[in-house]
Formats: sequence, C-alpha cells, structure tokens
Amino acid sequence: MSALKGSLTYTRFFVDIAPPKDFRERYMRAIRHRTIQPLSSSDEDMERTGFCRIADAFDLELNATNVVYESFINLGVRTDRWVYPGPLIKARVREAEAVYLEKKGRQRLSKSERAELKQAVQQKLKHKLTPQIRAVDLSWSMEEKLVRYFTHSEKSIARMLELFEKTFHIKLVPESPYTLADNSGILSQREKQWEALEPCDLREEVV
Amino acid sequence: MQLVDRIEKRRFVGREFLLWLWFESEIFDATLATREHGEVGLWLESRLLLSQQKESTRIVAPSPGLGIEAKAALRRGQLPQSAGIRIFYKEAETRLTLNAERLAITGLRLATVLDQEEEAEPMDLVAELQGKSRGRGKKQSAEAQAELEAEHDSEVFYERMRLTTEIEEIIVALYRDFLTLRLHNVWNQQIMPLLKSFAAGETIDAEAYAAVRRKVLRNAKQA
Repeated sequence: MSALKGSLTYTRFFVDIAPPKDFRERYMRAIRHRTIQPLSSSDEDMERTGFCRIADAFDLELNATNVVYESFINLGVRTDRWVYPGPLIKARVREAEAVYLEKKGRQRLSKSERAELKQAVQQKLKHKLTPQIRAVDLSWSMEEKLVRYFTHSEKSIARMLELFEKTFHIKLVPESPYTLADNSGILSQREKQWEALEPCDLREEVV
Repeated sequence: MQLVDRIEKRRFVGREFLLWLWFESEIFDATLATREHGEVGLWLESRLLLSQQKESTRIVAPSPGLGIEAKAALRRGQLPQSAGIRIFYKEAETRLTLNAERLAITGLRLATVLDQEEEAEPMDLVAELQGKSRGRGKKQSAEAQAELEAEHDSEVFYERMRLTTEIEEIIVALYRDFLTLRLHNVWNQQIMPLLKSFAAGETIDAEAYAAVRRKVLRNAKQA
C-alpha cells in the first residue's frame, strides 16, 4: 500500500490531458477541499474517503511542500469506515430486542422495527468503537501522464477513481493490454489487425 | 464500441504477451533485447499460474517454465495468467510478478540504495549518550531533523520512481515489439507453429526465429 517502503504493488492509470500551468495552486486548492474529514461518532456517514499525506494517514496538513514533488503529485487516499464486529452487533441487537419487546408487551418485532433497533445499536456502538482507517498511496506523474495507485483492490480503486474525478475533473483510464497498446501508439496504423485478433490456441489437435 | 468493452475483449492479449516473454526467455537463454535498451536479462522464476476458464495449473519452482507441467498446461489450452519475473538490467536485479490480463505489477522489488537503513554515525551516538546536541537548541534541531527527514523521503521517492519507470519502460518496449509481431501476418504463418513446438517441448530453431523477429521489427521501425 506504500510507495515509499518495501516492494511495490500497484495499478497504473493513464491521464489523457496535460495539467494546467497553474496546476500547483489550482490542484492544491482542490486537494485541500477533498482532504478527509475524519469520521466521528456524531457523523451519520458509515464511510468516508478523502486525501491525506502520502505514507502518513494521520497527517492532514496538506501543502505544496508535502504534496508536490517536482512533477509528481503524491497523496494518500484514506478511507474511514465503521466496522462492527458481527458477534458484538448480534448480541447487542438481541439484548435491545428483548428490552423493546418487554416494554411493548409483545412477542414479535416487525421488519422495520428490527432495522431501526439495529441502527440504534450501531449508533450507540459508535461511541465505544473507533472507525477503521485505511490509506493507500497515490502518485501522479505529470510528465509521464500516469497515475500509480498502490493497490490492486477493486473496491479501493473504485473509491480512488471517484475521488480523483471529483477533485481534478479528470477521468482516469486503467492500464490493460488494449489501453497500453493504444497509448503507445501502435494501434494507430494497425486498428484493423487489432480488431481481427483471435486468441492463440496451443491445444494439441485431436485426430 | 465502449472503452470498457475494448478493454475486456482483448484481455487475452496480455496472456499471450506473457507466453511470448516465456518463449523468448527460454529460446534466447534469458537474454531479450529491445531497440531502446539493448540486451536485458529476463526470466520466469518462482511461480507461474496458467489457466483457461475454470481449469488452472499453479507451478512453484525456481524455473517454473522449464517443467513439463507448464508445457502440458499449454497443450491443454491454458495460457499464463501471472508469473514471477526477474529482470537484470544495468547491473541491477529486479523481481516482480506480472498479472497478464491487467498488465499489473505486484511485489516489485527494486534494487534501491537510499531506503536501506543506515547505521547511526558513531559521533551522533556518543553525543546522544553524553546528552549533547550539536550546538543548537532542541527545538531548532528537531526542526532541522524533520527537514532532513523530509528531504531524505523525497530522495527515496525519486530513486524508487526512477527505477520503477526504468522497469516499466522495459516492459512497455517488449510489449510494443510483441504487438508488432502479433499484429503481423508472420505471427500466424511462422510464430504460431514455433509456439506449438515450444508447447510440445521440441527444440526451436532460435536463430531462424531471431531472423524473422529482426526483419519484422526493422520494417516496422522504418514504416
């Protein structure tokens, strides 16, 4: 998940536009606007994603010095999420149901009542638990027109793509055999051959 | 056609690229070449995963491509899905795992120098034991230390990105060469029969293949 330590596992994305001349000011404004507001127990959101400093999920003081490295924009994409341990939730909901039924003098709960109780239990638990915090490094190389995102997790990639688009108004194109071929210019004269490609089959022919 | 369809319909090309890397590495004794980089050492190592639909073959061995299991999987219609690869370039060795359908890299181990832990200088240790700082106030030295650390972090980052880009450029150059061959009629006429012989474990005429490869790539460059 880190760009600065250990071995690297990442996904590349192509950026098909050049950054504006005033990218430093403009992008820093946009980044600050999307810096994560840590989840707290009073929030209704169950999950929130925003930027933090690269390699430090808890540093939210983002400025040009710690974000812009020459022609790179380096950030962390942090996601805060309420995660309730299943057995704990089950036990607390059961307790709450018993209290509620006794109070109402009834035997059963309706579906909506059960959902409401569960929500109330979760809300209460927020005061006793802390949200799960995950951060993944992102490095945007403006010279190469490439974004490297240091994970292969599809959920994390989906969150990052949404955040990136909202922040910079740029749609990233994921690397794949097709997009790399297109990006390296090889398809411009061989589009027809590319369209006609059929997978290789090395199976032994059965006589 | 939508971009997502274009991406999904041609994911198999990544598997064929990995097959071609394996093929070239084996017949050229792990010495591949690109116009931009010259000779590059490249070989499959540690693990190779081949698959076709629900059937898959996982090989864990120092040279997973050399075993008969790997070739047998090819003959059953499976193609490489991912493989451990070692690249030797400019006196440095790099290891990675390539996911073929996404061309994504996992576990890239770079030959970095700057992020290796350095031992503290003896002078610093002595000063610390004696409770001395180097002539500055504590706050000032903490700030200076933070600045030094930030500078060191950025140096580490640049080194890692430089080496990462170097490896990516090798892979992209090889992919471009592969595509030039793959999209040429020489692929079906001359290379496919060689790949079938390769899958059958037969000896390949490496020089004849090298001549075909050279000719196609030279013509493509001139075009």
